[in-house]
Amino acid sequence: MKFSTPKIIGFVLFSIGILSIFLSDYYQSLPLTFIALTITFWGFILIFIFSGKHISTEVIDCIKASNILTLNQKIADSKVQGKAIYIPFLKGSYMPFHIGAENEFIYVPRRDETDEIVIEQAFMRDPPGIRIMPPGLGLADLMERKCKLNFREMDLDSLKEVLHSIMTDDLELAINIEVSLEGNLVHVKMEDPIDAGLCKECRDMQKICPHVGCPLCSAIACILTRAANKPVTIERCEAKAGRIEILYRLV
Amino acid sequence: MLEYFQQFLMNFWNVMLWFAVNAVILLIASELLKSISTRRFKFNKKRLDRVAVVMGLGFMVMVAWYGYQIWMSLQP
Repeated sequence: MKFSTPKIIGFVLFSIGILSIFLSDYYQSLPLTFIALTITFWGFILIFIFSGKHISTEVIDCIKASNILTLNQKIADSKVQGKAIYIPFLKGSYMPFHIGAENEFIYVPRRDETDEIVIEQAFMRDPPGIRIMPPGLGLADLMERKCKLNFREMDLDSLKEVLHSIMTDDLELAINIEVSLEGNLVHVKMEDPIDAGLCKECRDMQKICPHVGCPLCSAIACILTRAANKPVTIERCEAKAGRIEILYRLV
Repeated sequence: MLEYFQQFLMNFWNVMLWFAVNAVILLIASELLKSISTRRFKFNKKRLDRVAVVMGLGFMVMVAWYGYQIWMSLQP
């Protein structure tokens, strides 16, 4: 078991503190009691706040990269050429059981068609394209759990603030995030996103970037799909100098 | 509880002072560290926040206890 430096310092302080409490009792010294209690307490705080497992983003990127590669290969093998679209799943509403989805899903049509035709195809028993689960679905669910809100009951304006708080404060997925709405377009700018390395790798995957998106872009697409209750497409994804700009379109 | 601390020469005032000083330091530290990203400096901000609040509440309870003692002593 490997301990981090602050945690080791915490254990040392805690041990010295406990020893000092006995010494203060032995010498009957009030200042020593104060010092002993404080050292013990700060030792405990260091152990308490530095506990927990931390995995580097490099490791997570490597684990996720193979999943994204599999998805890319599956889409390539399916010979579908159309633009992927995120289809909302309305909880409580009737959904044909053969779809097999319990959340929003991605439909990739065989070739580019009008939005109406693509949406119609998405719900067919044997669609010409393929239905896949979004790579960011788990992350979108985590965000929903963290903020204890139902994105399906939110409007896009309130979502902007919530998204900022979850992504920058709670989960620290990005240093800063700006969401702007222009008609049916949603412009998202992220500064120093946590999966910048994976996003860079995804850019080389023709079938993933930009329409399916990396897990982070995909998670935001899932959230937008839930809040708007409309199909969403990822129109553009640009990365420059630690900044990612994504353009989503509400269909 | 009080007797336990008193065996280490600490009376109620000493403990209250200790709680107050630590609560102030922790509350200021947790507020200042909220704006710092923990990506490079990995610690649990929420836990620090929780400890600070508990210390602050501990101090408030002690003040309330002291107030109650005064009120009781003023009763005829």
